[in-house]
Amino acid sequence: MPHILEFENVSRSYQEGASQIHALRDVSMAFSPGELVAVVGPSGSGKSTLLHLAGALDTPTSGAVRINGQRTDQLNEEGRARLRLKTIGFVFQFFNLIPTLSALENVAAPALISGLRTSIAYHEAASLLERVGLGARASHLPEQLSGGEQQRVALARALSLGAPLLLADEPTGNLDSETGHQILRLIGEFREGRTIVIVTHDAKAEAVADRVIRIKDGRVD
Amino acid sequence: MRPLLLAGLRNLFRHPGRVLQVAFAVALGIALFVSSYMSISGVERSIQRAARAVAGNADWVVTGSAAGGLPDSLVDRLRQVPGLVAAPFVKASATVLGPRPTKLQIWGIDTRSDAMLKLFGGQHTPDPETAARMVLVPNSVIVSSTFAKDRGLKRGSILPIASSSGAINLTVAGVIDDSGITQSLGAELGLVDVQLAEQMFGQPGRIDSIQVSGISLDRLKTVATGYEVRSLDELSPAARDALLRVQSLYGLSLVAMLIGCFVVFSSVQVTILERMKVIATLRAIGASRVQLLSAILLEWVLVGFIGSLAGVLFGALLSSAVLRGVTGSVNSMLPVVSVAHAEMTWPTFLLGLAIGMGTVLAAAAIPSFAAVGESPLLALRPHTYRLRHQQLTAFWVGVCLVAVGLGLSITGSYARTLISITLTFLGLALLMPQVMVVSAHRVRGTMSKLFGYPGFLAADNLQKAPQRTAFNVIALGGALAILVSTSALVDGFTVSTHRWIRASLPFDISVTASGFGNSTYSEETLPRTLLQTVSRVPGVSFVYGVRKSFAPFEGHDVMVIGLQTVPYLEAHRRHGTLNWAHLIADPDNRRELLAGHGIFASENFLALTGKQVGKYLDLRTPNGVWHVKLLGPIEDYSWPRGLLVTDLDVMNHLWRGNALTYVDAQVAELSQLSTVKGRISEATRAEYAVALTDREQIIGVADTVLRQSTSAADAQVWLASIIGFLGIGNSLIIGVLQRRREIGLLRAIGMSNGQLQRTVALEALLIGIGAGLLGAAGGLVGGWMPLRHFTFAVTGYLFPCVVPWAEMAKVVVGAVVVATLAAVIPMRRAAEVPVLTSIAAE
Repeated sequence: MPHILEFENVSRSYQEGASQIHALRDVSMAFSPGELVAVVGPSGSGKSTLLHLAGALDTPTSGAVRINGQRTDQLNEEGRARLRLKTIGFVFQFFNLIPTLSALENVAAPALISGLRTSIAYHEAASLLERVGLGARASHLPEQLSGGEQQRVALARALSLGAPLLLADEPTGNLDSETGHQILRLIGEFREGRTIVIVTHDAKAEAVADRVIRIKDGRVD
Repeated sequence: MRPLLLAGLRNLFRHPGRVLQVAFAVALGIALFVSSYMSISGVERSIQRAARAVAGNADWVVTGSAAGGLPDSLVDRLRQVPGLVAAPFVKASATVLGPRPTKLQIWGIDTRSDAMLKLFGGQHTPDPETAARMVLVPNSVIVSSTFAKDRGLKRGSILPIASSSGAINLTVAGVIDDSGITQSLGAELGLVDVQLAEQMFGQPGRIDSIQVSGISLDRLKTVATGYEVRSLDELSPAARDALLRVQSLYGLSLVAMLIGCFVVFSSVQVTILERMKVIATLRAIGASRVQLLSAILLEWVLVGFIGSLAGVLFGALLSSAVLRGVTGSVNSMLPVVSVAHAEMTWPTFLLGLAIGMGTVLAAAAIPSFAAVGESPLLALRPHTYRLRHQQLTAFWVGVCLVAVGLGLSITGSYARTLISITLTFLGLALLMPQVMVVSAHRVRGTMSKLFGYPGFLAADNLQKAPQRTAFNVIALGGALAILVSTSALVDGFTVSTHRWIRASLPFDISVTASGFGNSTYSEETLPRTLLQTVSRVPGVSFVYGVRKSFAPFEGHDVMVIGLQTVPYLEAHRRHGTLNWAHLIADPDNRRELLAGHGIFASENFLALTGKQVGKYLDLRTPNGVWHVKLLGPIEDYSWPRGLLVTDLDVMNHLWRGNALTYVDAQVAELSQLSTVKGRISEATRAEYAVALTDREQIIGVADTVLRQSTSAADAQVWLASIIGFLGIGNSLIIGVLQRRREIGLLRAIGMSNGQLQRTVALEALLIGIGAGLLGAAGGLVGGWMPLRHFTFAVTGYLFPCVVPWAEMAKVVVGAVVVATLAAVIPMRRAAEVPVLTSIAAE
C-alpha cells in the first residue's frame, strides 16, 4: 500500500538573528493509511516543525516531503493550498476557529472554499457536528462554546472534506484531562481509512496510538 | 511619560505611510476650510476697501435706497449739526464716446465744500487749484492719471461723454493719481461736481449717498431719521446677501473635516490594534492610564500639527482658485468686487492649526480611551476577540440625531444648517453600524451565490465589524451625497430658469449698458433716446423699454422693474408667450398697475416676506413711501431677494428721471439675429457704449452664474472623495490586521491567495456600493431636501425635484471604483500574512 505521507532525509533550519537553528535534521519516515501515530518529544525538539512540513504549511530546507506521492517543495503556494484543502485536516492546540463564524459556518468553511454548493456544505457540516455531539450548538459562536466544544468543532472542520490525512497539534494541550480524553476518543472514532498524526505531550495519546515517534533535538530518537 | 512618547514616535516613524495618510486627511480638510475662509474674507475686505475708497475718511454713510437716492436738502440738514462733516456723493457709469466707446465711472463730489476735501484726503484728493478750476470751469471733470495717459488727455482737453440723460462735452480740469483707487473699484474714474452728476444721470436734486464724520452713529440716526445709516466698515444688505451665497463653502469644509475625523479615527485604531500588546505590557508593568493616554494623544496631536500646517499652506495655494468662484458668485449680485485677493492673516493661520489639531485630538480620543481602558490581562491573552452583537441603542440614538439634524436643516438658518450637518453625520455614525449588520447579513447569501465563499466571507466580515465599515461608508457616501444634492438643486434650478427665460422674456435681443455676464444686476442706465435708435434699426420688428432699480424692504434690497406695460404685452402677443403677463393683461390689474395703485411681486418675494396677494405694502421710493397693493404673483428668478413689477411711467415718477436699464428688441421673422445685433451695435455706437445679449446668451449667463456658485463646491467634493478613499483603504487594512489569525487559518485549511484577495476586494466592493447608495439616496433626501429648504429660506426660490439620474449613476460607479482602488494595498497586505506565525500558539 502506498504511503500517504513520507519524509525522506528531511532537514529544516531557520535563521534566527546571527545563528542557525536546526529544527529537523535528516528525518526519514513514512505513514500508511489508517495509521494513528503519536509524535512526542520535549519542547523545542522539532515536533511542530515536523507537523508544519507534514501539513504543507512549510517546505524542507533539504530532503523531500511527499503527500500522496506529491513532493510539497515542488508545488507553488497555491498548489500547496489546494493540497491542504483536499488532503489534509488540521486540529490545533488553541482550536483556531474563526471567531466571527458560527460552529456550523466554521465546519462548512473548507467545503465552501472548495466551491461546494452552500446547501450541501451546510448539510454535511451539520451532520459532522451531530457526529461530534454538537448538533444543538451549531449556531453558536466560538466564544459561546467551552474549550472542549471548540476542539470538537475544530475536529469536525478538519474532517469536513473527508481529508485522508488528519494532523493534530497538541489537541488536548489546552483542555482539562477529562475533556482531553473525550477528544482523543473522538479522534479515534474517525480513524477509519484515514492517517492521523498527533503531536502531543499527553501520555493518553501515546496509549491510543498505533505507533509512537519520539523526536529529540530535531532527530527521530 | 517620555519613554512612552519616544516609543510612540518611533512607531510613527516605522509607519510613515499611515502618518502621511492622517496628515493628508487633516491637511485636506483644513485646506478646504482655510481656502474658503481666506476667499470669503478676502472678498469681504475687497467690498469694504471699495466702500472705503469711495468714502475717503468718512465714518458713516447715509443712503436712501440702493438706487433711489436722497434729497440734496438732507446734506444741508446734516451740516447744521455742529462739528459734522457731510459730503454728498453720486456714482454712475457713463460712456466715453469716440471710435472706441469705453466706460468711465463718474463720481459726483462737492468740491465747493471744505468738508469734501477733509473727508477725501490723501493722494486721491484734487489739489486746491484743481478743485477751484472745477468750480470755475463749467462741465469740468478731473480724470484718473491712467485714463488720462491712455487717452492723451491734459488740462483743457474735451471729453465727449454719453450718460443716461444724453451726450455732453466735459472739459478736463485736472488729473489725480489713481494708484490703488482704480484697482479697488476695477474701473477708470472721473470726478465731476455733484450737481453736474445729478443732471448727467437724470436725478436732479437727488444724490446717492452722504458720507459723514464728526458725529456719533446714534446721533446721526436721529438726525437722518427715515434713512439708512451704517458704518463704512459694515456691509450693505446687498453685500451681505451676496456673501451669504458663498458661505455654503463652510458647510463643505465642515463635511470634509468630519470625513477626515473618520480617517483619523480608523488610523489611530490601526496603530492601537498593532500595539495593543505593547500597551497592555506597559499597563502590566505599571504605566498609568493617564500616562498612556497622554502619550498616545500627544503623538497624534503632533501628526495633527503637521497635517494642519500642511493644510494651512495648501489652503493658501488653493484659495486663489476658490476665490475665482467666490468672486464670480458675489459679482453676479454685487458688481463691485473685481480685484479681490485672498490674504493669509495670523488669526486665519492659527485658526486653521487649532481646528486641525482639535479634530485629530477629538478623533483620536475615542480609540485611545478604549485602548487604555482595556484590561491588561485581557489584552495580553492570546486571540482576544470580542464581538459587538447589538448596536440597537446606538442605532436609535443615531436615528434621533439624524431626525433632529434634518429638522434643524429645514429651518434655513445658516448656523443651524452647520449644526444640522454635524448632528446628521454623528447620527449616521451611530445608526450605520446596525444598518451594516442587518444589510450585510441579508446579502451574505447572495454574495455567496455570486462569488462563492469569498463573497460570503466579505459580507460576513462587514457584518462582524460594522462600526469600522460604517464609518467609511459614511465618509465616502457623505462626500458623494454633496455631489448628488448639488446636482439635484442645480438641475432643478436649470430646468426652472431655462423654462422661465424662454417663456417670460418676449424679446430676442436685450440692449444694456454693460454685459449681462459681468453685471446682471448692475445699476447702469441707458439714455431713453436709445429706444428710438434701436426701433429704427432694419430687422428690428418691435422694442420696449424696462427700467430697473432697487428699494430697501425689511432689511434687504428688493429689485423693482418698470415695464412699458402696453408694448410689453404686445411683445408677448407677437412672441406667442404670455406666461404671467396674462395677469397684467387682466383689465382690472392693468388699470391698477398703470395708475400706480398696484404692483406684481415675484413668488420668492412673497415667500420671503410672507406678504399676500391683495394686501398692501409700503415701499420707500425717492419720491416718498409708496403704499401699493399686491396684484398677483409672478414666477421670476432675477433677484434672490425678490422682484416687484410696475409700469415704467409709474416708476419714472416715483424714482424720478426717465432712464432705461434695458431696451428689449424683437427681430423680424426673416432677419438673422447676428446681423441685427451687428446693426444695433453700429447704430448705437455714436450714442452710447452698449452690450447686446440674446435670449440664449442670457441662459448661458444664468448657467455660468450657477456654475461659478457651485464650481468651488465641486472641487471640494472631489477632495473630500480622496479623504473617503483613504478611509476605505484604512478600514480594509484594519480588517486584515484584525483577522491575521483568521487569514492564516483560512490559508492553512486550503484557501488560496486569490480567494483571500477576492474576499478583501469584495469587501471593498460592498463598502463602495453602500457608500454609493448612501451618496445617491442621502444626496437626494438628506442633502437635496435641506439644501432646497436652505435655498428657499435664503432666496425664496422653490425648485422642482429633478432627480439627477446620471449623476447618481456616476456616484455609485465612482464609489465602487474608489473602493476597489482603495482595496489594492489591503489585498497585498492580506496575501503577505504569514500562515505559520499567524496560527502559531502564543
